[in-house]
Amino acid sequence: MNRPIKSLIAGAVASSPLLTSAIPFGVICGASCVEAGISEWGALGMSGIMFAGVSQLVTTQLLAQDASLWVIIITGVMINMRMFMYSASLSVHFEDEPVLKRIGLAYFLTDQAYATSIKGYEEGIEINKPIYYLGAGMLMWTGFFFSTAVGAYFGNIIPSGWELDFIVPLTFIALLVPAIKNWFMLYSALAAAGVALLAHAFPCNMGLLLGAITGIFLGYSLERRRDGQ
Amino acid sequence: MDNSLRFWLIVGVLGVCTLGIRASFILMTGKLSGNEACLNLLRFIPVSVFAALSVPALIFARSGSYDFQGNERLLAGFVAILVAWYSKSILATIGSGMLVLWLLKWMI
Repeated sequence: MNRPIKSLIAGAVASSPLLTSAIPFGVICGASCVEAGISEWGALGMSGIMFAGVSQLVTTQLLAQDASLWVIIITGVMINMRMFMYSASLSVHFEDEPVLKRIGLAYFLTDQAYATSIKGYEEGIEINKPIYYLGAGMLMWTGFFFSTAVGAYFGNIIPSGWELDFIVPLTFIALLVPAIKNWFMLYSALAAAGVALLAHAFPCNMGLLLGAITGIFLGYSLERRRDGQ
Repeated sequence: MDNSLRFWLIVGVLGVCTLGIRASFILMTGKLSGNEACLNLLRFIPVSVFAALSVPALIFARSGSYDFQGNERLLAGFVAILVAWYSKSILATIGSGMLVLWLLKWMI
């Protein structure tokens, strides 16, 4: 249980297919920043300080549209609220760590690191759980940060016709489908998608949260009914 | 961006908020593991969040509006879902989705 190097590498390896997502994502974030008039340093700063690709893209768009300060901040927070859920989900696996270490671990929390870790834990493999997560998180960070630099400095070379930003929803599809392991999860996903679609135009990206919450509670309730409670 | 102080303020605030969100439960360990209802709720997080994130992007052009963006992404997304279902492979899913998108774009 306590084999740090092996766990770190295992986590990195397990997450490596998701570099096909993190790298283009980083390039897009870097390129979008520069296109919107933000400096290369600004782009790197966003990726280093926020380290949250989806919210970075939306923040960049809002900045370019001259949106108000509050709208930008609230929207960014709403988009990243899903990390609340990842945090809760992972917390049960990080019990024994000291506080400072947990804050450090938290910094690396992304969709990819989360998905890799939860999958690994569910498969019950013999590893040091927080370190496994850290391996995934650090690999994703490295891929994302350096490709942000590439996107910021060389982004204008990539033709926009390639629509690389489609990688973002594709990543989530790639993470979603294998995670659907039973009918309750399927209904949960459908409900979440449905509500997110209906509420898509709600301000500050609220539709995302509303969809996610609906899906979670629906799946949970259906499962409880089956279990006769 | 002319107003770079405003920019760094926004980035800083969002950075701190995001770290806070990320650390929230991780810092409160122990409170959740005993609670079976919580654990049962938590298990639906991945599928709900990923569905809410991916599906709207296949249909709408950008956030905040209901404009339909065209069939290419919808079809490409559909293919990606099928590929994901049968292969369970992240690489295959992303690769097939992009390939179909490009094929549709350049053939029409």
